[in-house]
Amino acid sequence: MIRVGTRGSALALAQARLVASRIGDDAELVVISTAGDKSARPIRELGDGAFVAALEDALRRGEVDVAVHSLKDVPTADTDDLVIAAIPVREDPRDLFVSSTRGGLASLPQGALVGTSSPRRAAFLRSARPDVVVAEIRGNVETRLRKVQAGEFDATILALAGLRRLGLPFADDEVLPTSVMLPAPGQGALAIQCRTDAHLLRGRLGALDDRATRVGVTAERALLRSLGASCELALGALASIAGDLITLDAALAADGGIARFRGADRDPLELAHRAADELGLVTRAR
Amino acid sequence: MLTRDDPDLAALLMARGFSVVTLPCVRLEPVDRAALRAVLVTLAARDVLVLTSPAGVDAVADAIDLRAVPCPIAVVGRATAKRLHAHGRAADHIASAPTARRWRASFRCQAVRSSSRAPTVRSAIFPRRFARVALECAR
Repeated sequence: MIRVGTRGSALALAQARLVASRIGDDAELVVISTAGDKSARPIRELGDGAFVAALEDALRRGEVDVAVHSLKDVPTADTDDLVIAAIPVREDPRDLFVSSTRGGLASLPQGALVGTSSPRRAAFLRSARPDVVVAEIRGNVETRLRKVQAGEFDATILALAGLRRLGLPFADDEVLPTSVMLPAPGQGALAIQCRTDAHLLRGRLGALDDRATRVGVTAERALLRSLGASCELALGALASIAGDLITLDAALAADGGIARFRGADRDPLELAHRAADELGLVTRAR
Repeated sequence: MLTRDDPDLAALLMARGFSVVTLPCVRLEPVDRAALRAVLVTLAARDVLVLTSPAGVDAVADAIDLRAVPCPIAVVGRATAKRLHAHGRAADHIASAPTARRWRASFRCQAVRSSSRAPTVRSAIFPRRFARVALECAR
């Protein structure tokens, strides 16, 4: 059997089931609880990789053979003993704006209270709607939706991919265009991780890897890494691939302003470096 | 007649009384670095990176950090292994001759010896056009 380690949230389980079904009939799920799940504190106080570390430790201890993560949670630093053996085809990477009336951002009344714990979402939302009040919200997708329904918040922002994987409905009006809200680097993609020395397993997992997704998220994550690789960074980045040309859109919010980059190259790493140079230059000049 | 551009060897031969005509049959050109990079960032999902010459090692080293390559590296010939070592990475497999049959036999042999290695290669990257070997290995 191939033991697929996952967090216990409904979304994590849905993602892990998706991966397990693609690995084959011999894959079974093993639920591991992580520091991010146990804590009520905001993710950025727990440090990068709060959701990831416990699964990685389970891989190292040999308790699981494969770990499934949301790629945006996985730190960009290399690990010698673990490898992201596959990044399957990406789901829609955009964010959703979910309000109690479910009418999207346009229908949000002036001065509304929006719950998000992501500095990126908060900064881009404030830029689009300076009137709204942003406050910290914690919990998984269902908890956040419940808090909005209960009136604790007027709205929240969630990854479209998460709702789709959970089979939850949403309207087109709720999708935030990337011109308003660029997703986090790697958002919508899954990381299938295993031990570097598990050569046979890597051969099987490698078949699930999608080259276009891998190249695109590599550019996004290389940019994040160049800029300091922290989840406190209000960075949005989205790469799209057409043939061998990679187009990277990125936006970095700092000191009340937003620096934007749009460029294209065939080399994902060169493109990321260009974006980092440009965004770094603009934000340093402020 | 020297079929490669090797001034050191030509000088050595001339010093020993040979008359040397150099007629290079191989010309090295810079690789398309962007295209190479776009392939090399997918190495984590591959079984092996095959480097077939010291020049190939240098080309890949110019594109990425060879020490951080997340899959085994197989090389053809000791000179290639030595160049790889100079870039800070040891070869995981060394084939003694650049023929498809020899490479495959060598890889399989080492694969069997080291139980943690995959005995067959499903997915490999060959910076040089070495497709016949790839096909043979995939069988």
